[in-house]
Amino acid sequence: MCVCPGPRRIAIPVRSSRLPLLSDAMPAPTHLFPLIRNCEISRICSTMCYCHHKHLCCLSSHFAHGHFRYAPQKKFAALYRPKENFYQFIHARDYASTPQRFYLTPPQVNSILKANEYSFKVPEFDGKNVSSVLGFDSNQLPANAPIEDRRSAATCLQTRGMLLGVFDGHAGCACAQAVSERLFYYIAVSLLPHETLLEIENAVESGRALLPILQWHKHPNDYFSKEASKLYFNSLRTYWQELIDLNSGETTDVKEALINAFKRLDNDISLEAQVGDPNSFLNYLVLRVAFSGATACVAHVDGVDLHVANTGDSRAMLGVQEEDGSWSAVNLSYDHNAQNEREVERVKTEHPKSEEKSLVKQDRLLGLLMPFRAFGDVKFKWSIELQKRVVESGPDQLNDNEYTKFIPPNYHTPPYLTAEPEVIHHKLRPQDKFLVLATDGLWETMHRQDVARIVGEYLTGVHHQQPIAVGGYKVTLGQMHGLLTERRAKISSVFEDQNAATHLIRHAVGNNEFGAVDHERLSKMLSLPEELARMYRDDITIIVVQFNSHVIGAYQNGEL
Amino acid sequence: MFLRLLADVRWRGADPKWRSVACCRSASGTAESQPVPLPAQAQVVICGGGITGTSVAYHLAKLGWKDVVLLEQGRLAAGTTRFCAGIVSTARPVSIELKMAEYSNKLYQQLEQETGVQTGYVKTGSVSLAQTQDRLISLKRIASSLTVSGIPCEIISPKQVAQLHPLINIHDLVGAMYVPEDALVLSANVSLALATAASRSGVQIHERTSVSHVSVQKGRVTGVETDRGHIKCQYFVNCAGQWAYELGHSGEEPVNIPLHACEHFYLLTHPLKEPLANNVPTVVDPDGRIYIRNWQGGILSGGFEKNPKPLFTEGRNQLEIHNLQEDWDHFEPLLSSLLRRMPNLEALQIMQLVNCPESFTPDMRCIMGESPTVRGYFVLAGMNSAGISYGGGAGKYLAEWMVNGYPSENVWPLDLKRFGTLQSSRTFLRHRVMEVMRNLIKQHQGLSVPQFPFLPSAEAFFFFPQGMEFVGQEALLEQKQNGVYKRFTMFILEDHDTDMDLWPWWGEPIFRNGRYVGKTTSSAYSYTLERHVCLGFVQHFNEKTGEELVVTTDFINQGEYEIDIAGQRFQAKAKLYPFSSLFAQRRRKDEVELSGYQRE
Repeated sequence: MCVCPGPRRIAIPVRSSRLPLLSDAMPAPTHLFPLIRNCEISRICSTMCYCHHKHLCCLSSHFAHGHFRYAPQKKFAALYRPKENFYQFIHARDYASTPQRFYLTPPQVNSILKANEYSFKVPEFDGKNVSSVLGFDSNQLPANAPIEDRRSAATCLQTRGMLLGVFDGHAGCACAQAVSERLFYYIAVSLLPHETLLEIENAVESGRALLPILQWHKHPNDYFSKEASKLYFNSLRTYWQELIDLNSGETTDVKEALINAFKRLDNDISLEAQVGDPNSFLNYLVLRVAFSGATACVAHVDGVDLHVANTGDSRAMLGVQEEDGSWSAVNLSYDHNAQNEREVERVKTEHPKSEEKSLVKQDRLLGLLMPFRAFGDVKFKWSIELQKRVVESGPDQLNDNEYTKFIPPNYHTPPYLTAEPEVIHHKLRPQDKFLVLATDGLWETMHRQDVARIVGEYLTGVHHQQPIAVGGYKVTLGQMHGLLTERRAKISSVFEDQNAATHLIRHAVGNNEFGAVDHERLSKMLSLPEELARMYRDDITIIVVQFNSHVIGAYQNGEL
Repeated sequence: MFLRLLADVRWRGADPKWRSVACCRSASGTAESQPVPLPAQAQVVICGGGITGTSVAYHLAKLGWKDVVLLEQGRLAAGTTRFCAGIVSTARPVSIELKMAEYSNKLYQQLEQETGVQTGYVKTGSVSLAQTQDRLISLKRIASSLTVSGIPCEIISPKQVAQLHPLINIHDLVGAMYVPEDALVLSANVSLALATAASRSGVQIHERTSVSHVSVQKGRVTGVETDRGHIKCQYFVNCAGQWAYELGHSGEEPVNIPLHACEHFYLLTHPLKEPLANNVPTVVDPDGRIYIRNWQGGILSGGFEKNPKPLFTEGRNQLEIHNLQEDWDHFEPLLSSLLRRMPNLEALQIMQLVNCPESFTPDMRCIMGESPTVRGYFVLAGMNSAGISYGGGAGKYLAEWMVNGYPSENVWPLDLKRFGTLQSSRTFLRHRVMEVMRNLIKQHQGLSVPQFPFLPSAEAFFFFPQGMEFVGQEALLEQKQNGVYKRFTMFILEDHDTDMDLWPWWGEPIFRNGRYVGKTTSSAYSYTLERHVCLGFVQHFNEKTGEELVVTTDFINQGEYEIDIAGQRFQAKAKLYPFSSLFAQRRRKDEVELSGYQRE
């Protein structure tokens, strides 16, 4: 069994279904997709070889596949523009035989980066704006095809506050999709007072119009599955009915509500998969949701109360402006992965001592899974019997899938995985200017301190170039003009983004060793074919929430 | 380091009252010398010692109000007045602004002679350039309104531009407007000269005195609270410039003065190898958003960028505002257009980029008049970077307003009352001034606020039932007896080709028998008549004295009319009654009672 320790979140058994189909198209390495530089290929190859020799064949299949699908390069040739100075580079490396290089032009780069960007501004009523959130920018850049990240944002209509979240799926996007659609409803319902729940239940009972619970802020690409909505609604209704029956009478604690909602949703996902559905499409859907997985990082902002609930290795970070104007970052979540000692400790205490060595291998849970907490992933939650029963009774597609049939090694005392979040509560202060929620695709490439600085400077419109002062120097108008034109060209990249998240992605993907966006690098990274992109970067999803310091200050002074 | 250069102060007058303050100034830093104590009461207290404040003081003194105290938080003429570029330009599209600028120009011209303070007045003229036909038409419209106001001006060709100014690149020009009477002044010195003259007439001037708030009782100003004590007064004048907004809000009864400061940049250079002549005209390039004037043999050039930088003045003192940073990156577009206009300047050495705060209002018009909420509280502020051009005239009209109860000209477009409380929101102002400022240099009539129909007067009949009184009755009766001085008239353009000729867009001069009688206030194309129809007020000026006479129906009917659209005159037929009435009953002319109400 070859298990790839590459950047993929979850190791996938090699015998993928498309392998035999494509092996005939395996080309010689030099004729690989022309966009990949030879040196890069050697890099990829060497990484892969390092992991496992058998893997080479799997890799080749990727390449073959890539070549096969992108062979008609004419389609792309029109898109790429030759860049002269690149010839020097080629020449220096003595790659004279390499065919012409093509680069994406800046507008092409922008259209890729901006394809998924979304901004929302909380409506402002001239100073009487009582929301501590000014608005948010979000964006995502796919590396997987299709992308496995999801994002959600909504305003609670029956309670105060705003919900924002990023979800990083693995082993497919089904689970992340389901969580992104459903989790906020579970949270909103958990937050609702008893009377409102009763009102909603009565409305459903008598077929009246429902009170709207959430106002979604969605990019057109963020879809909801229509087919499953009935099923999801019924599960949600069962949940609020139970809440009504439980009626503790206490006011709802946000932290508790978040934890309950997370756990409940994961439980529902698991149950739906066990029960199945008479509709074969839905049946397959719920199984895919349960067998894939997703991490979630959700923020709930209400006035100065900021709660971040995190499950998995996405991260929430607060951007704080110090008194001297500089930016610093405060973590508002803990990663649940092998790097977090507390988390490793938790997993170990939950299982017998005999398993201690097999629990975490190669920094992965049971040697397979990178996040230590996640939604779905019933392979790490159900007993072996249950898994077998469900898979066998399930549709054929599921039965044929190697991944679902495969039982993790050393699987003795399930569950190994939980969706229970860690919740951090933070009281917002006027110096807290923004919150960044992002999947690990961002944090792998950038340090949080850099993220805080880049977003902070973007939002305040300050670019890090030193201002020019003439002082006593002898400068002519012409010299000054030349200097200014040059500087403007440099900072133009800042201004071509209208979205803080896009700006951050530009840096995450295109930063060179000096922390500046390098167009060549950006262009190369974005023109990687689908199958290769995942080798260099992960899906990146970012939400940047901007706070209204005036409102927060007013809250602090007790004015609101 | 800051512009001592511009403010070459040599103004210490012979006035004893003032000298003591001046002594305190000269011994700057030695705090022991005591400033003159504030008076316990005065008729008028003016806050602000810039061009507007000193101008109001000067004109109040001229009109005989001598019990006036002028308070300045720092030094006289040390704020925006000191930094501003000192261009007196009369090329203004709105006629009241034009009149203010014209008066200012005349005032400054004789000020040095009157006061002995050097004002640096030089009549250089100004050239406004047009890079497009549209711009040229817009300049032509301004030119026709300048001409009827008696200000010489002409539309000239690019070649003539080159003769007027040696450095201008004329290759992309289609024409220009030349106003030979425009001038340059040392703005701070003008303000000091006005202060000197006012001081001689008895106005008390106190520097380093800041007003904390204005006391109001029963909706009336009763006094002023300063950091050096209380002054009882009947009138308060807020000339605090960029601080006017805050000052208006400092008291218990807030006075809304919607203005917001923005940073404004201009460049100073070392002299050219062949220094520019003293009288080279000032260049305004609206398409390049810049102005360029001669400055000590070099040039001074600034402009109005597309992305203005608003500035908050709350809690910041004068010193802080004056140490604003130079922002070259922000100035880059303006520098580019300067070098495009004058390519030979490339080798010229930079002296300094000056960052000077200017205050802007939501509609690009300055703010003057009495507060609608507090009687005796007058305001003159928000000069939209034309403080020097307007300062003299605006001060005069405000002084007249205070002394006579109404100014000698119609200042309605500038009245503080045009704003409601909505416009005084900081958020609104901040966003609005950014829009306004970027349009500032491109302003032409297309942007002007419509004139409010303050003067109804088409035709109305009033019956006066016995023993019944109503508001305005007196005025109407007076009008009935005396006749009207302005008549609302309709004009139908006769030889105007709608497809080919320029359209009237309000504000076009109306000529009767070749003489100027008024301006159009609105116009539209009538599909029924298939003609352009203009509406406007017709006045009757005495041919010799220029005095306003009663406008009679005969005066309107017996005349050949022409309307001047961007320099071209079109014949027009005057109609006193709307067309509908022509088809209604034959109403005989002699039955008509004139009752257009007019009183400014």
